[in-house]
Amino acid sequence: MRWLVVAALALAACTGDQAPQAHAQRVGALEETIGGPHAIGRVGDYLLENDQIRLIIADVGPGRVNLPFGGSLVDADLVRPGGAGHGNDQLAELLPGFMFVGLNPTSITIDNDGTDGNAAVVTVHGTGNDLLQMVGLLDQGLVGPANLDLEQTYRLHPGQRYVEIDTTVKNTSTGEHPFPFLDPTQLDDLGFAVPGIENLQLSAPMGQLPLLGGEQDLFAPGQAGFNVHFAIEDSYALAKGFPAFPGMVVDFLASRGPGVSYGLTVPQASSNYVNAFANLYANQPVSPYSMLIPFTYAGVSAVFMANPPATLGPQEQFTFTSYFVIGKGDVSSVLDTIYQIRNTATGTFGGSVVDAQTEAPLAGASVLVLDGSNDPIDQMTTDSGGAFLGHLAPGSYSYQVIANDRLRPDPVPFTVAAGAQTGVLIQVAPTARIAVSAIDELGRHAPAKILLVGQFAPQNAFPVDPRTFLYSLKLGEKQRTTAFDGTTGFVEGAWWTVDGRLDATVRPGDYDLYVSRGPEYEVHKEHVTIAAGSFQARQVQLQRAYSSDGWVAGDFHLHAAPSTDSGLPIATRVATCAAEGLDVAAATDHNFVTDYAPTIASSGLDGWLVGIPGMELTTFEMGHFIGYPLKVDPGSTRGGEFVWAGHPPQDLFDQLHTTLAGGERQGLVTIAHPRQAVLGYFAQFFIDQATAQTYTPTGLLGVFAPYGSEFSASNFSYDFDAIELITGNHFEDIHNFVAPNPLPPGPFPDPQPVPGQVVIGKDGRPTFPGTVETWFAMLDRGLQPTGMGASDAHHTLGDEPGYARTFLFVGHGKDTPGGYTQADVVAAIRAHHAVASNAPLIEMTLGTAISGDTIAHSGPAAVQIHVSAPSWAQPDTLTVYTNGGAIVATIPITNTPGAPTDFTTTVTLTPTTDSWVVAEATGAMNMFPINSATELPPLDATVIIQALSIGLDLSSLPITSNLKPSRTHFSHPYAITNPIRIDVDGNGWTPPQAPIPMNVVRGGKRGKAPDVRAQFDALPEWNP
Amino acid sequence: MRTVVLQVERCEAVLLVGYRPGTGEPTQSVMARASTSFQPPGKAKPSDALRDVLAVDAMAPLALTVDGKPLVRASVRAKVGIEPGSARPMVVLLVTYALPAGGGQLALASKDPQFTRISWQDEASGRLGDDAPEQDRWYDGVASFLLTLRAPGGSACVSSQSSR
Repeated sequence: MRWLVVAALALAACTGDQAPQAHAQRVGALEETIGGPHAIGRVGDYLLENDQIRLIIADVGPGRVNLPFGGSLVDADLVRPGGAGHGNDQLAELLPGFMFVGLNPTSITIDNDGTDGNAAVVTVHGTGNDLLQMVGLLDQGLVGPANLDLEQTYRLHPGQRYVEIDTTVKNTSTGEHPFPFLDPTQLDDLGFAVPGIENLQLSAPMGQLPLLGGEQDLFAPGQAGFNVHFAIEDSYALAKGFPAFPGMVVDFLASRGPGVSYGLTVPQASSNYVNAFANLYANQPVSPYSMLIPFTYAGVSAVFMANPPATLGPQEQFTFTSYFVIGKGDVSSVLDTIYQIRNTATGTFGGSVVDAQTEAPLAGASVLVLDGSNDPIDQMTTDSGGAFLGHLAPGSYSYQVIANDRLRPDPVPFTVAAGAQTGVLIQVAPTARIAVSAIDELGRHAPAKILLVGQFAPQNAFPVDPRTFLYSLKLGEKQRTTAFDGTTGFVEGAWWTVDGRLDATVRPGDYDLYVSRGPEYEVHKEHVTIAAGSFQARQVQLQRAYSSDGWVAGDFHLHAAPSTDSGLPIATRVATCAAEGLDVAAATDHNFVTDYAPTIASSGLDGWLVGIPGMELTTFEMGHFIGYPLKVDPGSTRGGEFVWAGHPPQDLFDQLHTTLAGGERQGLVTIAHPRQAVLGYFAQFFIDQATAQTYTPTGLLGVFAPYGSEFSASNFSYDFDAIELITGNHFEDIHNFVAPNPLPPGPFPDPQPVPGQVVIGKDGRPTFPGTVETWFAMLDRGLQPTGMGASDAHHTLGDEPGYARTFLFVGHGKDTPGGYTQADVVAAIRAHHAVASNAPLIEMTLGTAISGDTIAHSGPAAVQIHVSAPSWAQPDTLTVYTNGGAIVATIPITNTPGAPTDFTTTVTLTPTTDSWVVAEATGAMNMFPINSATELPPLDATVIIQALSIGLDLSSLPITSNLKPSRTHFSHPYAITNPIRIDVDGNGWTPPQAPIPMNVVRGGKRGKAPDVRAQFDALPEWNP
Repeated sequence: MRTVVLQVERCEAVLLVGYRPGTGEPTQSVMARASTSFQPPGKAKPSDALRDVLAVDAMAPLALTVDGKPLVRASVRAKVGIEPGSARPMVVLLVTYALPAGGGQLALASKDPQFTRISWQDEASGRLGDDAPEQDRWYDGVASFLLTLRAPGGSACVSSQSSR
């Protein structure tokens, strides 16, 4: 095997024969751009390239990715064979961050086009604006952007795999500009009325905000490794207080991804932020190159690297430098460049990884390099021949090979000397092999999901964190989901097949084999033992759990590779949808119009799955809005052109309804996760769950409210067609939060919570209002947005598509392959013929009316309700609601253990006024392993605010309270129907409450505005 | 958010600027609410520094020019307070400029167009051409706002006094 090592080293020594060069230009044709999964460069943007890498800087204008402003670095890749347009860009974007102030570009200049043989240089000029209005006061107090000009200069030298970035802050005023701009007392005066703020000494950190894309796994050397997200949260416990912002100190930031990787580092500088407060970061490793990562959220990581001078004089400026590195797909290729930037002496470490039994080379294995504390400091990915190679600073290390289908070996020590080569031949434990062939009840090779479920030792059962014994996120191992209920099951492997056939290598062991096809089927389960090097095969026939004549199941909130936070290939997405028994899949990538239809066809799934093109219009803090069916614009690098930053909701709805749909109101608009903090429309506009109308937040909620005019109450629009009543496994958002009994340890802010009662805030409103209660308030007032269920799935295991889903009635006999169309689906949603569910189907009828219908009916109304569910998702309680959310009946659902739910009941109402009726089924059983638990808390803005709150009293802010809904739990059955509206008097359905005044009159005529002097004089003088 | 009303009079241009780092609403709305329930904050005394900071921030990105020449502020008045029902401060500025005797192109420019809304109204000035955009409506996201200015008729104009 020695020849393998030698060959690997020799190959690695080869270099290209192109002469070094660098070049900058305005993009004149789309063919000049980069290409790849996240490439959005277009004509008018700026191209920077040399013989190694290519970069695109977006032109001025609104942001095209996740953030509000253009002018960011949006595409980056290595130079590829095949030239322009054939790249592998996976970068979402990178832009400077001055606290939470972004660079809003006013112009971009090519300072040197590189024809002189020197570096090619492009500069983005602009002003500072809030990236996140919610923390605008903090931006104002720390940075004071109004008097600053901001610049970011990208300098690309010939022959280098990094771009040097100079970021400049210039004081344009005639006075001095301090950092922080205000002292804490002034911050309090400014309205940042947070208890304790006046006692703080603050700082104004500056750096870069990289969004490296969903395909990329973030890596930071040391304690974090690939576990960056949770390591940041762990670092908060180490914080010693301001002026040093809390967060994780890293020597560099890198990533791992398919075919390309990225990195960020800084030179030694006197302005280094971490070193400026080194005594406050003493319990973390600090180097001259240290950077601070205070959070990573929604794909955005903040990397603070510079501490500005205490004061900038008039017209003075401050510049800090960073380097953005592009690698070949692993950390090592990034670190090699960082060593080069730092002029670090290195030796090489390389070799080959082979199977111990067959000696076949292992492609795609991950070789971790560990330091003396067994923390990862580097990672190399083996090539198709099993070879790997990287540079390391001289020292003693150990290596460990990670392959998800093999047992993890122990670390092996080795040393590296400067200028020397260290080669190893690594033999890893063999795999086992399993083959499965599954057919449905009709003998068809239908799409199916296949799981291998293992058992860990009982002493490790919940609440022991599985990350501590079952898998290592730090080493980059995949997550193995667990039952999360005190039992010991975990998912070792999961496959979503297009035809029920599987042939896969797995880690040897004892497993339960599960085969499933969504909630309309029972699960097949049998035990298998697969020894190392052995092969097992099984044939399986699935059985239906219940009949769903006329109903199709759709997931109308799905993400794949075009979303910056997914990275899942579209082919995998459509396979997962079909295997979970979905009949309809709407593509809803973030700010990208995607159509699954071509991939559905090429995957042979035409008969099983209907794709609907769409998009999730994703604002940074106004909410997320789903539109479908949309028309894909082939001329746009993101499937269609649209705007959102600074625009009121109606503008967004108009685009989704009409502009992007290709015709007047051809599209449907759904409000995604309306009650999620920051990401939810109802949450951000402060919608009262009792009235479905806006209210003015008070106290700290008001401090953190977005301030733009687009957020004014009068701009709230009800012009949407549907809302998600259940999104994924976010059960906590469905109903008003009820205080647990017994209460957790206090203290709690007043008013004091009552066990078993809805938790109420100072303003008398539920502290965590429910989506369903808000929807009921809308129904009371004559609005009828269709209640939907959707998954918001970004990945696969642990984030499965179809949980939740929406059952839609398209007509008896039409729920067969090819029997229904996209038009049938859209019509069913418009008609509200829908049931939001994660497994059970509730068929509710009154006479000829089904869910969503209005029927004229006087006298007693006998509502027939039939609940169906598979044995692995049995609901146990049926609740029937009517006007005002009043509960008409709570009925136990009778079940037979191990058998599907088949429950029928009649609930008789005697309405005296026009009414609506809704049925809801809930259950307590754990749906594992078909629908995973939420074991790790989802990352949201709460984390950022909590990170910033150290030393402050934010206890009155609901999300920081210690009495709030748990966000980790296993998944249990849930379904809710759309209403049947009963027209008692036969003169048309009249809502039980007065309709909501629609106070937005677009284009309305106004009277002449009063004289501005009179308006000003009418203001009372402030005489405290 | 910054809301700007440009009022063109016979001899002066007047800017009514509403600026609040905390919340943004049309100036008319702010005015209406503030005039009925303008409340002092919980502080013992208003901070002059706060007023200065907010006033500077409010005006920093704005420039009023005629044919590219900046107009000189004749007077600046500022009022600060706390928005009722919230903890957010706001400032309202009334800034007057003497208009030149001749005609030209009157431009109101903002370096912060994304967060600036501009409206304009003609207060019997007799100085504007017929090509002016519709008055008394908000224009969002405009970097510069142009009006054609004509020479005034009648008697000469007298400059106003500067005050706070």
